[in-house]
Amino acid sequence: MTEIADDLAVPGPRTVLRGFATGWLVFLAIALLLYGALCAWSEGLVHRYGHKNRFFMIATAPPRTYDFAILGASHAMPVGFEDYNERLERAVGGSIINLSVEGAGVLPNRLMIDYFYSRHTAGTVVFFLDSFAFYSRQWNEDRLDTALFKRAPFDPALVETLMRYSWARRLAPPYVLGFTKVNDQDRFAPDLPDSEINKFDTTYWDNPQFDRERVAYLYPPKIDQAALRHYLKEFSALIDFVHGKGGNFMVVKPATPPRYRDALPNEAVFNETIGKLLRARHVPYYDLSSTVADDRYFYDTDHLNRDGVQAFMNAGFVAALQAQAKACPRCARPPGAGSRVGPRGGLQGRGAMRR
Amino acid sequence: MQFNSFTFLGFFAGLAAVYYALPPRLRWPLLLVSSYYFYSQFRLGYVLLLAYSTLAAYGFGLTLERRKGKPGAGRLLAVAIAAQLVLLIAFKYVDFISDTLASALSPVMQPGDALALPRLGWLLPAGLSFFSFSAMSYVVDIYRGLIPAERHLGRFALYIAFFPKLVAGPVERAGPFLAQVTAGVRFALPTFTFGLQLLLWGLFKKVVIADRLADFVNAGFTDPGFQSPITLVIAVYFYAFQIYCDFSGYSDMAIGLAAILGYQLMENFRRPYFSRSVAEFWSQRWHISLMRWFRDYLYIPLGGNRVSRPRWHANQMIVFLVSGLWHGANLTFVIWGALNGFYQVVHHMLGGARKAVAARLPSVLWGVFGIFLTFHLVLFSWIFFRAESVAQAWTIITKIWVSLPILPMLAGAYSWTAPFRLALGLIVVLLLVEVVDEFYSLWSWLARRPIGLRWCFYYALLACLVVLGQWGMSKFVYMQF
Repeated sequence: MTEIADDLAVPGPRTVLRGFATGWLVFLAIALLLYGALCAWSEGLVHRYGHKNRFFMIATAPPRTYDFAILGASHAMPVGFEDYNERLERAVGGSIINLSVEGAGVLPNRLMIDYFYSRHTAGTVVFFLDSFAFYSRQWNEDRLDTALFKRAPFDPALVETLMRYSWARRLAPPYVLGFTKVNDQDRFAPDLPDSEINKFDTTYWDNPQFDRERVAYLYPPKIDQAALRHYLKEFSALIDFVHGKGGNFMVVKPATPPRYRDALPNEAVFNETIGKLLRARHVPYYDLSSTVADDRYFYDTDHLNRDGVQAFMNAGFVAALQAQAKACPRCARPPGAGSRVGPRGGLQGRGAMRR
Repeated sequence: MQFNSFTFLGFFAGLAAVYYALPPRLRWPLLLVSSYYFYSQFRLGYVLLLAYSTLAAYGFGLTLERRKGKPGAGRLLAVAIAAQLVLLIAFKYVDFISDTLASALSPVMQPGDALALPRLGWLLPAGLSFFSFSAMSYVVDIYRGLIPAERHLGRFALYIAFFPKLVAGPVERAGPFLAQVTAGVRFALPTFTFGLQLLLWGLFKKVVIADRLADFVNAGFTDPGFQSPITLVIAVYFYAFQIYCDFSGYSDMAIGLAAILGYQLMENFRRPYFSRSVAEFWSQRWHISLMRWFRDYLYIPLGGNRVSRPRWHANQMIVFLVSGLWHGANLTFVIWGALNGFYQVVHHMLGGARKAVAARLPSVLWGVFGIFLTFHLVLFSWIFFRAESVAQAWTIITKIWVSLPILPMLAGAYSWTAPFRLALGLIVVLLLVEVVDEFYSLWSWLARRPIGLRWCFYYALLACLVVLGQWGMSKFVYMQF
């Protein structure tokens, strides 16, 4: 600082320096105050428009035990569109919270369920299985960006959760500083995906080019076996985490059209690998991928539309949840208890009853 | 490390604090180390290229000064220039030449016979075109006797590597810069404040305007065959402002960062879309430092306008074709350069007719017409600049052309979403600021206002940055060159 004073080629450098420093401090203090006001305003907007945001749902719901918590990526989202979560709850006869997030691979789901357990519990965690989630950073580490937290209300529990994982720690500062919300470009829009607002009632018109583009978008050009092993390990850790919390874990393979399924790379190997992993951990696995096949049930290449969700629920999803609930009525799974693995497509698991 | 990242802003804040805490004699070494650190963040290995370019120019500079006026000095200069060009050729043009040749010869090849020309497949290092041009201008200036060779390797290295201008200009000349390094930097509050103002304004142009417009531009330029004509028209118009805000935003930030550190860099943009002719656009308002480089080191050596008329026009075409190739090894850039060269030639060929028309029209009307025409000529050339291939550019042009009669109807039916209205509003704000700046220097005007008003302006800019800024990992367009 003395050097700056020496540099000032005006009389009374120390006075000028003091004035300069004071001016800067006052400017910064006012800037901080204004930023604080912006943060408060943004937090208010989150509480006004963020009701269907997964972090918002977790943070604002009174602590409770859900029968089912649904995890997954965009294939799991339509079963929670509009009032379908309530319809599903009525059909199954249990409480359900849908925590799926578009493009969320194993790691974002791990973060979500960890945060969920900081406030709530679930009898069974239902994981919608998509193989693309196991192949690249794009849907895992890279999916954890600041945009994911733009509607997350401030909650010290979420900060703790972020700090717990090396791959999520970098997101803690922008979240704590409120920047993710202050900088949200869609701050005045309800936190609903475009697919729910604009596409849910539409029907897909088959186009092989779109299928190819979709697969190219989701999957890396070359399957990386090391990445697959890494994310399978993370997936095992996710299962262990839920089991450790006393919950059951079940896996559902969502309905997709055959033209899409046939285009997926390495799918047979993936199915075999994941099957082995789930059997080893006694996790019930319901392959419902072929239960709804007609294009009229999809709003795009691979996502269920309104009729599709209803058909999917009728064709096996509700039955799978009911079977799980029957096997484990409102239970939290004691650590160490096993489940049976049966043939694909049917009830394969039997969670242990609580108490 | 991008200028528009929090990592860089944090790095720079820390550097500026340490910089002014150090005695003046230690400041340039700190800047040199910081500049190499900054460049190493792109890829560590590229530091070797920077060092090579620096050492080659330094060594040839000293030798050229010793051999000045002696036989062989011209050949030595050619070698010095070749030593810089070899980097550009290897990293930028070998693959382009191979691909172009293979593509050109493919019709005469037998089916199944692939022409295997050598390809290097090297990634273009950030800023290579900029720092190699700085190095070339240095050796030429010594050869011409305009500046003495710099004997201090460290100071010279700072001229090449100075991080505010390293990766995307301005293409600074050695003379004025080295004079500042030698004189030493003293802290001056007005310069410091001016630097902060420019930094803020440059950031605003980049993260608030350019990156917001990028969404609309990318929508149009991705699979244009599937886009509606109105989407393409919006993409083309918005691209004109995106590239301006992106590049001039970078230049403002570079000049601002340098000013905070006590250095003055040359002006690079002067409200280019208010140019009344394409000649004015290129010679006085757009990427001034590069166009002056081409003027001094290519156009004038070719004879400039002191040659026969056909040769003069050929010189203009050559300059713009080289400028196109400088931007990128792609036919789209060649066509972009050729188009702008063509505009220049036509502009000069119609000189008499232009004057006759101008004399009969009110000057304001003629001026507005000139601005309108120049903007649209430049806009047309930007299509080739932005397109990924000539075919894509052609798709956009033809699709817009055949839809011209129904464009008003399509525009009426276009959904004026909130992001679109905001993008339009920001362009209006930009143009209003530029209109004011065209007649009065905005920053000088601001400096004369009471502190309360000035601070309100700064807070408004800062608020826009945090509320509206697109703070991603978006790169600056010109960093790819």
